[in-house]
Amino acid sequence: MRFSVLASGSSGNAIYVETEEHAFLVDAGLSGRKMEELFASVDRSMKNLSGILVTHEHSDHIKGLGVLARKYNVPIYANAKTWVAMEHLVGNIPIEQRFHFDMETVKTFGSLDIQSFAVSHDAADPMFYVFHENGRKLVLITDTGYVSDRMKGHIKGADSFVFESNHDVGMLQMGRYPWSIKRRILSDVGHVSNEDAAVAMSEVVEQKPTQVYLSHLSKDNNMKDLARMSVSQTLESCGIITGEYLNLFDTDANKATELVTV
Amino acid sequence: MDWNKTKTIFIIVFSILNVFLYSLYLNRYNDAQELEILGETSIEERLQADNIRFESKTVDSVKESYVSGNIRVYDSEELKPLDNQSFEIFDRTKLVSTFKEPVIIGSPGDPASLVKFVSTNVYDGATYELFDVDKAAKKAIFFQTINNRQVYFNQNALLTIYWNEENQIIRYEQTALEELEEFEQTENLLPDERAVEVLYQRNILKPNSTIESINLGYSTLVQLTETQVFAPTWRVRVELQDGSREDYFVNAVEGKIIEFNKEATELEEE
Repeated sequence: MRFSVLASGSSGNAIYVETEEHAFLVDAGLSGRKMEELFASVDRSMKNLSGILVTHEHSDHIKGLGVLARKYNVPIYANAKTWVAMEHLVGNIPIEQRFHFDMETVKTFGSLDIQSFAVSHDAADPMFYVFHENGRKLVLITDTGYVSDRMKGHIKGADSFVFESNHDVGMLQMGRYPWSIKRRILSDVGHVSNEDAAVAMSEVVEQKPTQVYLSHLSKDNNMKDLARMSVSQTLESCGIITGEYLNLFDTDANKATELVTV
Repeated sequence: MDWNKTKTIFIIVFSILNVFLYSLYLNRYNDAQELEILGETSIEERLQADNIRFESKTVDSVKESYVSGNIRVYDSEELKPLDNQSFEIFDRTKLVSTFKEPVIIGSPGDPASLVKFVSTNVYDGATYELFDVDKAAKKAIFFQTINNRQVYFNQNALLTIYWNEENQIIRYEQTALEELEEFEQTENLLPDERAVEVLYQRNILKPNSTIESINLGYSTLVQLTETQVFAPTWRVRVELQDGSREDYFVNAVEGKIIEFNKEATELEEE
């Protein structure tokens, strides 16, 4: 199983996951043209997609969904409430391309099992995914206000994580966002801070080689270096030294990460 | 009743009333136009109107990055080369050095003498820059520099020199940052003029004052467990009408006014 974080941040999110037999895109939060460019940058084509999995209906996750679905005739998977919530946002998607992927269920595509799990975010019915293939596990969790014990149960022991590290609390509190937005981000249905992400990570990583991609960084309230530094130091205070068995990687709002094997 | 006369009187009265109301409307309209014109006046004009003197020095847009650093842990071995000093280290991060023989310099209140003293007698003294001399308290405050720019009011980047009644330097207290690294991400800085505008809009700049200097430095943005992150910051030094001076600080990326807890810094010093 290989994956690339094509883009991550409030300006748009998209993650590509492939096996020998199948290729999936999780969210299509950028314009159709930009999505094609990102696919080309990892030497892949959208024509080969087996499906697009939608996490929730926020625009930074579905901006290019309608266009791509119609252009490439790709099956789209989302849960019932998300379908209703994004109905008016994605335009007409033919019924034969619409598929339901219910919360807390597993779908199998050849050797690949995809498991959905609920997250705490201010969308209709937000969920993220765990990919299992040949004993390897990839977890995607980029929009949640906190990481509950139930979520930890789903994501524990993965080999690779694409993990939200949205903001530095100090920067957010001092920054220029209106108070209502700050409160929303800091709430249980907002986004996870660098420190909270690290604490959650420390409870779900096991002592084996693990890659963690810090994702969905706020453009205004975080920086790559700061997120890495903050997560690394918080992990250290929890007894995990980065570089020993856990390695941190950056993601970017406009540039795909290298396609890597889980 | 002569209806023709009555009609004429009505027409004349209403004509006069219309002219009066129209003149009222015109006055109000002109007033509103003037208000808009006032609202569009440039910052230079508004400063001039309040007799606040200022010359912008920013020519081109400047790009800078955030900087991170760790608090220095002192090692007494490193301090051995410094003569005539006995050292005490508190919490591994604060150095207090007392001169066995007090050092006489030309005039402790003189900035040039202080700078020369610090560069030759203080551990890593060349990385500090004089911020303020308090002759009454017989002390001078230096801030550590990053990229030749001061780190403002950070308790971990301070140097305070003390002298006695005989104008002999008796001791100094020092904290320092190390492992300074620039972040990859760079930001377009707001021009110095914008910093002045921010202060003016908040009614912080007082009429009849002069903006003496505007310098770029750093202020603490984020404090992690081991590391601190510093943001580029404008320091605006203003001379007031009575000749006293005040410093104001504006985050050079976001344009927010920064208020330091200067008293806390001084208490720590003591």
